[in-house]
Parts: sequence; C-alpha cells; structure tokens
Amino acid sequence: MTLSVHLDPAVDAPHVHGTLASLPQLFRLGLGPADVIALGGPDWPRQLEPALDARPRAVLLTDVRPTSPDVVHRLAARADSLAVPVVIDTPWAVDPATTAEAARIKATAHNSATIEVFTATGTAPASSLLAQLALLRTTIGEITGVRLSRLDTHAHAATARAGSVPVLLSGVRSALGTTETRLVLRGAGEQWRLRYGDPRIARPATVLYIDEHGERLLPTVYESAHRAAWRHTHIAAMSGATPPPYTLHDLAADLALVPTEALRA
Amino acid sequence: MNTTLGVGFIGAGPVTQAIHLPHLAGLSDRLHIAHVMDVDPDTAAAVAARAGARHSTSADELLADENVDVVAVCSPHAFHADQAEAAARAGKKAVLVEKPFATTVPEAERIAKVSRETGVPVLVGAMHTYDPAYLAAAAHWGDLPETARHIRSAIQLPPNSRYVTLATQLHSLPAGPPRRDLSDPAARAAAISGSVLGLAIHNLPLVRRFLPYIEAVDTAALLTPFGYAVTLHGPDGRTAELIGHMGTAWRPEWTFEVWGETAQLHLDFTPSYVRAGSARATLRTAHEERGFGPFPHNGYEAEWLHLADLATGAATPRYGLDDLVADLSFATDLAARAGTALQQEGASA
Repeated sequence: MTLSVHLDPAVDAPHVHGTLASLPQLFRLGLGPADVIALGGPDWPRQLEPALDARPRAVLLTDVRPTSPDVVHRLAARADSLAVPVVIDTPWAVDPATTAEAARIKATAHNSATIEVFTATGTAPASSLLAQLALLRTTIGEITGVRLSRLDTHAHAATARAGSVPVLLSGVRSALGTTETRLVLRGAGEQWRLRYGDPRIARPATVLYIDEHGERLLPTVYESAHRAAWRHTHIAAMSGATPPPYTLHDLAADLALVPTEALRA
Repeated sequence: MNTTLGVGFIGAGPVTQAIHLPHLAGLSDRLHIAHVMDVDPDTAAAVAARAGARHSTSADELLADENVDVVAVCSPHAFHADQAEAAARAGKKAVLVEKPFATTVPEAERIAKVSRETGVPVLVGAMHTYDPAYLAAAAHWGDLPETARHIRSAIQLPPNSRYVTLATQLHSLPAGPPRRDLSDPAARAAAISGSVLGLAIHNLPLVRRFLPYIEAVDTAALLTPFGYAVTLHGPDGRTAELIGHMGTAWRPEWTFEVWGETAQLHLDFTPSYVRAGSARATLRTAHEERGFGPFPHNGYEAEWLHLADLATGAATPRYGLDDLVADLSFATDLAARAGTALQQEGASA
C-alpha cells in the first residue's frame, strides 16, 4: 500500500526526496491526507504533539536534537495512547547492518573486554553522543553509569558500563566533510568491528566478525540508514505489532543517561 | 677485520633475542653483535653463540670490551639508569636504552646529564618515534600538534608468543610475574600503572607530541585478561583515549590517530617482533588524502640505523635529551594518575 507523506519544512530536503523516490510503492508525497508525517530539527518536541493529534498512521522523526527526557516520556505516552507509531531516524541504530546483526552482537557483548564507539562527523557532538547511545542500546542493550568527561562544541568523551564491561564513547566534530562511526567489541577470542559512513548516502556499513577461524566481512547492503528508517516507518504504519528498532521510549531512556544541560551545551 | 660497529647487549632476554638480534642481522652492513651479557651464564653463552659474539655475566666486562662500540641496555628497568651511565662513562660511541628510559625522572635526568658531560649520545628504544612512515607524515602534518582535538591510541594484540615464534627460536623464557590478587585496590592500581608503562608506553611519545601536558586522567579501567582503557585531557580540553588489550584473538591492531581542526592523522603500525616493515600513515584534509609507506624498515631498524649514524658522527640525535626526559616524565605521571583514578573509581563504585 502506498502511503501519503507530509514533510515538515525542517526536514524537506533534496536527499529526503531522493530517498522517497527509491520507495515509490511505499510512499508518495502530496497524495491526499497525510498517512505519514515526517518532522525533526531543533523544535521537534513542540511539533510532535500536534502531529500525533492529527492521528497519522505513523510519524518519522529525523534530525532529533537533545531535549528533556521527561518531555520525551510524555510524548511517548501520548503516542502510545493514540496508537501512533513513531519511528526515529537515528543514523547508526537503524542502519541495515546494525539491525541485521544486533542480536548476534548482543549475545556476545557481555563477554567483551571493552566496547568502544567513536564518531568523527560534521554535526554537533551532543547529537553524535545521542546517536551513539542509540547504537549501543540497539546492539549492546542497556548501559549504565554514563560519565561524561567532555562535551563541548569540538568533541565528546564519556565512559559507561554494559554489565561489567567498560564502554568508551567519544567523538570529534570534524571539518573534513566526512562522517565515520566505529563500534568495536574486543573480546578475548572474538571481535566485532562495525564501521559506518554518512547515513544519508547508501555507502554500506562494514561489519567484521573475527574469531579463531579468521575474519569475516558480512554481506554489505547498499542502503542508507535514512532509507531504512523510511522502510521501518512503512512497516510500523501498516502493522502496529512490529516496533521500530529505536523508539521514543528508547530515546527518553538514553536522554536520561546524560544531564540535559550537558546535551544542550 | 670487521669494519661495522660492534654492539654490546646488556641483557639477553626475549626482546634481545626476538627483536634486536634478527633486526641487527638484517643490518649487517652497518652493525654486528660483539658481546652479549646476561646474568644467566647459559643464556649469555647461547645467545652470543648465535651471533658469534663474546659473552659474559658482567656489565663491567662488556663495557671493558674494546670491540663494543655501542651499548644496548636491555636489562630489567631498575638497572637502566646505572648501566646507561656506566656505558657513557666508559667512552662508548652511543647508547640505546630500551624503554622505559629509567624508572624515575631523576634517574632519567642523571642519564641526560652524563650524556651531556661525556658527549656520548643516548637514544631510547621508542621504536614508533623512528618509524619511517611516522616521520614522513610528521614532515607534512603542519600545525596538527597545535590544533589537535582528540587523540586515540589502540593496541590490540594476541599473546606475544604468536609473533615471537615467527621472529626467532627463544633460548629461554624468563618466568612471568606472579599473579596478583586484583581484588586488592592497591594491586589494581599497580596493575594499571604497570600496563601503561609496559604496553601503552610504546605510543606515549606520540601521544605527548599532540597532548603535551596532562591536566587529568578522567577514567581508568583494567581489561581482562590484560589491558587498560584510560582517558585523559590536557589543560586546553583536548582529549586522548588509550586502549590496550592482549587477549587470545589473533587479529592485531596497533593504531594511532589524531583529529585536528583541519586535518586527521592515521597510523597503522605493524606488530613488534616480526620484521613487517613500517606503519602506513595517512594524512587527510578536506581536500586531499596523502599516504606514507609502508617502507621496508620498521621503527626498530630505523632506530638502529640512527644509532649507527650517531656513533659515526653522521647524524645528530633526532630527539634531544630534554625530550627523552619529558617522555619518561609523561609516562610515569600518566601511570601514577591512572592508578589513582582506578582506585578512586573503585572507591566510588
């Protein structure tokens, strides 16, 4: 079924049109009343409430900026009460490479000696940190004890625990015009190494699994995380039974891990 | 008559046997092994025999050997300072001290003072600081040391035996240190300090180049079965992550990366022991990417060639004595702070 889409001006960008054009059987812009509303940017919490009240089949949140976890909890409860699924277009957690391997990674994560996630990107470090927390929640599960040692306009650095495993989160705002995120799980005998590029383009993430038999590059998928998020939106809109990889409740839980004031820095 | 420079080794343990002997043999047009000293007479004799060299159990005897032109101090850390000083005072042409330079900053300052007094050049075996790809990148990285924002050093290694057996056939392997009870906070602090001075130290002179002053160690964690994860920052907020892990996984990683305002440096080093050539270095800006290496010589070979040039007066030291002391000061300061941070984290957990 082809769903009609309304793009909020804050997310109405050529690359979004390009993505929708690659899913012509699922979405169409301006096709009658909106089945799906896409919104995001700095003002997304204020815009989400009326969007939910319009009772679309689904909402896609993109370019999610940090805000108060209480606000997000309230919005999540409202979305639940109205039965409107909200899909969050977060750059690494919804990447097809992540969703394909998340269960296997999660199964081995707690045997790791350390878990590291690093990002070099042109976006604000607070947004990078939030996206990293989403990636960790999707692949590792709950992390605790987040300690922020740096978060400013240039970089961020934090540590946490996944059970007893140390987790390092770091990133820099890079002026090189490229985006890169790495997730590394170093185990005693096995390792996972995931490497992501720009979520707006279809350059595939690479997933290396290493054990005593060698190193295996898992099949690459030339689909951007952004396109995957739209696919998840269609699934959510057509069947409320399948939760998206990363939900508003997840976002609220991640925001609660870090002081809101720090994320606004 | 052998016209190459004669090298005398004080200490003939695994590093001498597996790293220095094969590397020196590959530089036989410049250097040869003249004398091997070890407190264990069997080890001294067996290792010396491999190179057709004299052997002894006394550093004094080695220093009195006129065929020894340059001295390599490869003994346990506690002996480095006295033996380096004695080698310089013996009038040798150059001295290589394996890392760490000494165990304390006053000891390192004493070696530097003697080197100045005697005019005998001293070099620390921090092999990555001599890696040809690192040096090639350094010649082009511009203001990256001033504009660095984040530094990341990651060392992931299998057990040493995986490489040692490919580099040599060891005559003997000293017994490892006794297992410590890591439930004791003091033992944990000592363990992380030891891992910083034992493994992280390979890259610490590089870290100091981009983060010269430590304001604080923010976090420190011991990794199992061996390793560390340490984060620190400098007075201007620049941060560094140091990760070192030795497990059973075969895949090595020895990377050093720096992100600055307009450039990024990536170094991918080869493992120690095996003669696998230099690192590959990449310098990236928004407009270009430049690669350096791999070159045939790794940092060990490059440091020996530099030592030969110093001994013959063909070069001046690449790193001044003040730099060598500052490198040690940085390493011991970091090790102590990491130990303290780990204890504090344990107390607050």
